[in-house]
Amino acid sequence: MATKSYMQEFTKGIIKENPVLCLVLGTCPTLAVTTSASNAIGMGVAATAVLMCSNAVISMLRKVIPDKVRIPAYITIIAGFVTIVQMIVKAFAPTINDSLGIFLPLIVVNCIILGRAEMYASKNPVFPSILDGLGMGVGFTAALLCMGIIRELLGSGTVFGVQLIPVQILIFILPPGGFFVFGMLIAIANKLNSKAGKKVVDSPCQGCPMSKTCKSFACEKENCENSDKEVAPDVS
Amino acid sequence: MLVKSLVSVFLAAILTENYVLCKFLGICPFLGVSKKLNTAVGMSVAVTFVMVLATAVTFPIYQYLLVPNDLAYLQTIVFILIIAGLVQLVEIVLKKYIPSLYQSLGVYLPLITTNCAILGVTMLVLQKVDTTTAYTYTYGHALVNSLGAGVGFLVAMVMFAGVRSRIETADIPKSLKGLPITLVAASLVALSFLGFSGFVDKLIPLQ
Amino acid sequence: MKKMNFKEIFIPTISLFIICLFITAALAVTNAVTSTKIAENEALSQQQSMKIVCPDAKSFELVKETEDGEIYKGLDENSQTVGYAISSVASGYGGQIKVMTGINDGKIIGIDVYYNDDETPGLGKNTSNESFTSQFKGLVSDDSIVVSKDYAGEGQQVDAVTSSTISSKAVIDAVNKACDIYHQEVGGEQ
Repeated sequence: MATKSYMQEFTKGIIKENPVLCLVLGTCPTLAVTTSASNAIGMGVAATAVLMCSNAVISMLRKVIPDKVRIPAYITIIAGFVTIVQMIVKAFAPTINDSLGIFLPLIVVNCIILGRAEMYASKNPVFPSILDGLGMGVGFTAALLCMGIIRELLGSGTVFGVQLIPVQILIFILPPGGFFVFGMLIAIANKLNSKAGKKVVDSPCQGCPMSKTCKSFACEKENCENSDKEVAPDVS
Repeated sequence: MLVKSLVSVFLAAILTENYVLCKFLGICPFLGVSKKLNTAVGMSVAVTFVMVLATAVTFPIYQYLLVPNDLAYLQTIVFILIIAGLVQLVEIVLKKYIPSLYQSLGVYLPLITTNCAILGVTMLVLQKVDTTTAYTYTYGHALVNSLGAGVGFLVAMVMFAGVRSRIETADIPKSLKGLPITLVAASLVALSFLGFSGFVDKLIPLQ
Repeated sequence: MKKMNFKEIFIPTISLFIICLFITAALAVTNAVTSTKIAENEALSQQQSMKIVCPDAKSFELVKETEDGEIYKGLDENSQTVGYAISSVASGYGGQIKVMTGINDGKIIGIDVYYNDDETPGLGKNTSNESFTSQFKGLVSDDSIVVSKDYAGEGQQVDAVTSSTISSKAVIDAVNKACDIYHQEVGGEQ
């Protein structure tokens, strides 16, 4: 029983609750760093490391951190781990640091990490939290890798730098191609989900950790009682 | 020369280096709050305001406090805490002294703390500060850049809100409905911004 | 309005403060461990680049740091000057482009684009490809280089990378700067 549920903690992030394709979190790095498959892996691994460490520490401190300052406390802890990962990458894999550029420190505002801290790690014991972080991280990496392979193959004709097809459709590695490929992947995920009779995402807000804050005001302001779609979101 | 370079920085931040469409920063609000024109404008103005304010505060702190003391590695953590603090402060001040403005902008403020466009702007302007070259950014450049980034965000949001209002009435294949078609529309808007590449350098040559 | 009591303010503040303190301490430790390695890496990438543009040299000696870049003298085993390596910077499409230029006897012996990660992959990033950089070999350093599209004449021209005129021009710009530095610092001595 126990092993089975641990297994579930790990696998749910990969397929059922994939943070990118099902919850639509972390869209900024998903679009920005997927110009090549190797960049996608670098970003995915860095984010996974941060996610596991921050989940572990937040879960450890979940009874100590006062509720009032919990978000600033989470952000501080996450920022600390992001900086540590950044320094390690700079020291041991400088080429990855150069190609990820600003998106490495920006892991700090990646909503997957704050989202998991708020929704999972703050309520669960340490070990499942680490597994949850690992699963979500692997799911994030897998989605990024998928985007990266498609964009690199179509855009430069290569995968991991190995020439596979002779044509290059440049637009795929430019920003418009990023939006397009991401849109198509979500369409496929939606199609599969609706076949399985599951809920389909139609806004980036559903999985957003700040959505509660938004919902209250957005509904007052926009009179959108019935529409979950127009919930102002944010966090990325 | 200074005015020229400031204008060029401003235009570049709006058109060729648009934070949303070219640099992929701040995608969540771009996709989430662009459905109605008034919310799109409100969000963008709040973002612009916080961007300029955050740059105004973080730039000197980094240059004159962190770098001289060899603490540049604390950049991420210091910046995110400053931004979080600033947003709270602005919210309190607005609520107390300018309630009318709070009504229209204040509601977006709590969402902005973790918007990656804000942290991105404060960090990217510092990357352009390089005293060994003639292309260095001064404090003025940094402020103009963050203002341009905000205006660029506004332009992208307003354009996209227009595009989305058309999608509302269109007949879309079932599996593309919702987010996928929004992303395809974003792709087309980003495509139009590609046309600006090289535009600013041609318009205002700096050499 | 009810006044907030001491405990309500004090406990969250102190716990947040303690968290900040711990995280900062952890960062300081990591920084102490990694900072030398990071500095080494940065020096190494420039060093490798100098080797590429000035392959005959065994060691390099800093001649001067100028506003536009740094000039190094390349020395062989017998401490004879075999060329100069000059680093210079220009602004490309997405950010800075850093170029190392090797010059000997008033002729460019090679260039290396050692930082262009802010350029678009597949476009501006191709400026570091051999097919683009090799065009600079053999050009003379006392006349400025141009993109062939802009100039129909003979000699000092290179073809820009397809659809990346801005990045290509930035590289050319940096090389021209390097040539200027060479002439200021070395001039006719060699």
